Amino acid sequence: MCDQNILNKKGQIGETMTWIVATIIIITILGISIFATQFIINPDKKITFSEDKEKNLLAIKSITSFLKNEKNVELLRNKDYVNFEKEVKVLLETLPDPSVGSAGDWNFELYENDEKKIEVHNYRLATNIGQYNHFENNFLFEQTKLRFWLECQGICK
Amino acid sequence: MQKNKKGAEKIISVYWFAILFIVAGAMVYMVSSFYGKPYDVREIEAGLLTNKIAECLSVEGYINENWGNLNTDNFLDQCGLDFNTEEIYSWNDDQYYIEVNISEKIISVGNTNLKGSCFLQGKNAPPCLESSLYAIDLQDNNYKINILSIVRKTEKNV
Repeated sequence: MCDQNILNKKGQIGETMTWIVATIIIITILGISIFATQFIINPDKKITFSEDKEKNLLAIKSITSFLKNEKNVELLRNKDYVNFEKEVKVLLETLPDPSVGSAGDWNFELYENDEKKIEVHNYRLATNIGQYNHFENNFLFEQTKLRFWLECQGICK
Repeated sequence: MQKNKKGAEKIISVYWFAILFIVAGAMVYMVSSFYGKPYDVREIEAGLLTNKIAECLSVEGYINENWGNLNTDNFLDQCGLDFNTEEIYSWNDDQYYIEVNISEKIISVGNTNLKGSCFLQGKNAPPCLESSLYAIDLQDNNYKINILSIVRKTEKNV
């Protein structure tokens, strides 16, 4: 009788130990999950840019206006690249600065029969930061290729 | 023996409920931590506002023919904009400010006080988005259009 009771007790202790260990494991996993959640959460939750084409609307509109200007078209037609470069400089200064918090500069190149004739950079930071090409827009005018693009340090916004 | 087993089962069911509540509580805590804070979309909203203004002022590369007639009173109607906001947080339709500068002609609409907060730092400060646009008129004259858009809505975004 006495031996039987001792055997039963051992069984109960074993079961209790199993549940205690299981509880510790469950709470540990939950604790890690909560800790990981805190780590993943971005405290700012600030969305400053969206991955769509519309973000470049102002630049596209400006370039369209520039190329619709008959004076600029005439300069291109007459291959007056010196004066065309001056006009491009004015345009690049006008193009919106995409850098809300990061650097970004608009650039321009003109190729005639694949030979580079003009290169204009509008470095707001006064240094060449170019690592990435974004929002590249190429336009063909007879044998002339006009290339507008944006350089950013990191992500263009 | 039979009675002991029933007692053990009762204790285990209580334990199961406790574990269930702990797990459910932890999940609620994690989800609320993750989704509880609002996303700050004011900068994007200011960008969209700027795009709308640009679409109104520059049509197919040419400046709006009626830009000379635009003024503070008719700008919103002419450009199809509406500064009315949700009726919460005691907002009184004063959450937006825009300023458009076309050839030294300045058109400003909205809560002028917001302009003063552009120099402020910190997440509560409303974002001030300054953009510029190149446009021409039918006589090929160049125009530089400067657009300043400010969206407050701090209570809903921060």
